[in-house]
Amino acid sequence: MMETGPPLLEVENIEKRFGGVRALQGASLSIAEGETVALVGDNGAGKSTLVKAVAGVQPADSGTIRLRGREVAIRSAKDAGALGVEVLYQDLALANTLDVAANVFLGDEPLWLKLGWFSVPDTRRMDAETAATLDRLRIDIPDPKRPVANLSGGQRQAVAIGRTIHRGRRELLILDEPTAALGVEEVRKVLALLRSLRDEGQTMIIVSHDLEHVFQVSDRIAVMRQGRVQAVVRTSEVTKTDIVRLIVGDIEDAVA
Amino acid sequence: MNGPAGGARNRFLGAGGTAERALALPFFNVAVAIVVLYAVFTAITGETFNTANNQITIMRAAAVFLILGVGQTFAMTTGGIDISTGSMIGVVGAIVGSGLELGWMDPIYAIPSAILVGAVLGAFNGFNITVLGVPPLLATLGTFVAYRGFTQYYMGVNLVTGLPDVVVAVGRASVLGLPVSVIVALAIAVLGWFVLNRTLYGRYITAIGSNPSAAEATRINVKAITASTYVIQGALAGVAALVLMGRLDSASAAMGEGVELHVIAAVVLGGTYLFGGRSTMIGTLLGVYLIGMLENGLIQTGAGFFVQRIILGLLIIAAVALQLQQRRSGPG
Repeated sequence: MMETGPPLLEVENIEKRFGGVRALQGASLSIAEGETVALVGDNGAGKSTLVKAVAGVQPADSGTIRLRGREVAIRSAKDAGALGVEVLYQDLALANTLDVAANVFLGDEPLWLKLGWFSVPDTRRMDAETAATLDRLRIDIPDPKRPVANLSGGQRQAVAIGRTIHRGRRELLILDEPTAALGVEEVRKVLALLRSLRDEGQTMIIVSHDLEHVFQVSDRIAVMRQGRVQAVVRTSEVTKTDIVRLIVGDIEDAVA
Repeated sequence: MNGPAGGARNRFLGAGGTAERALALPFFNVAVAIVVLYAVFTAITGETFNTANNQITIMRAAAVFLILGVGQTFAMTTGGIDISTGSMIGVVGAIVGSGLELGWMDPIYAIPSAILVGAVLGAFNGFNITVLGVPPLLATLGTFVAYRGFTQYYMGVNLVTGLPDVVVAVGRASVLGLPVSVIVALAIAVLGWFVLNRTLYGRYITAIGSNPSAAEATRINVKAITASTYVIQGALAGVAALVLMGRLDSASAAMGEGVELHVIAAVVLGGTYLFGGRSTMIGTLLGVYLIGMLENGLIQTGAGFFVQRIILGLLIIAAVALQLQQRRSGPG
């Protein structure tokens, strides 16, 4: 991959403690613009903690985060959002009783009448833009006016992804287990969606347990172990066996 | 979220299974109950129930519950509840009532100060719930007791009387045959419907009740909005206190006792989820009317106050049980 200028995201020496547990012990990672990096590792290796630090949900205790070479302070989800870091959470962060458009625009509605909390959102525009976004991502939802509780797991995931990328400010998109708890056909659709995002040049971090899926969508794989990024490898140059050995610690920084 | 009646009906006709129907029209049950009970009471009382005068009597008695029901619907949409409403009415009555009686409050300030005192009482609930993290049921149970205790301490056995005309008018005057209190209550309900169904506020409280972490992740100010529902409920308790004081032309330490049960029953019967995320202002309006009608009809058929209490309590349980049943069988 051609590198022009500084990487999009540089994370250096991030540390995070929870009481006596050192969840992150100097994790570092660098991601180029337009790249899709998969973050893998055993349970407790620190994947979620690292992602939450970048997303501002659980800010790091120490360490440096740079976006496009500029050091940034991410102390809250709001900070991260303002910098264009968008996160898609594992628990499918949808409001079940609202419809698709309401979820896609939640917290970011276009307004028909501006009155603070009592502003009236422009629902016609929201419906139209939602339809366009779903169309672009080739997501098929027969009745978008129904509460999202009625949708399938894959459709819900698609709505969550649609919401995340719809926001426009999307320097970096972080997906936490995007294919977990989905059926075979739905996994296929979500992976296709991630590939089309990659083709559009979206920079992504994908946290996943499933190496099969990781190999299908990532440019590089970052392996975490014991609170550190132990190795970063080019997906096309390794096998699943290599990754498994890196995850369990059979090879030390062999391909880094 | 519920659309206007028309939109809900379209979805109702277009939907398939019974669970979807319930979802489209959450106030379907209460509407059926009203029709049935109306017929039953008319049959039993031999037409004294089914008169325009009696309907106005029902509405006048229910006005206070509708005013409070709007605020309760907001709080319940976020997954909360406010059981301190009756006690807030007591405090407002004590402070504003005695201020007016002893002359240190000019009648011009009666209405705004009742609303303001109520809002402050509600803000204390909101603070305890969102900043200290006390569960809404317990936070408002605490103020239910404490606010009533304050009222009794402050008032003793005294009765505030001789209230100014402006307050009495709120409780007693009529315009074109409709009591002012009913007009005020309906206006608040219409405003509440608009806020719930047409504004960001309605969307956000629904999102909070539906999935608080989702709301947080979208950078909605969950704490401030949640707290504000209790401030609104407090301010509306201030309005309700004015109506009650006006109607009785007095305020006592017992004013507002027991209203919380009516309000919660009405809102839940109307179809608003006790667990948050789904609510209906039309349902609240119908629920308030159902309970008003039930009490009125029970009195006319000779059932006493204690029988009413028994039925009211059991109704709340039945309404919640029904919701749990629908939740298990249906989506959402």
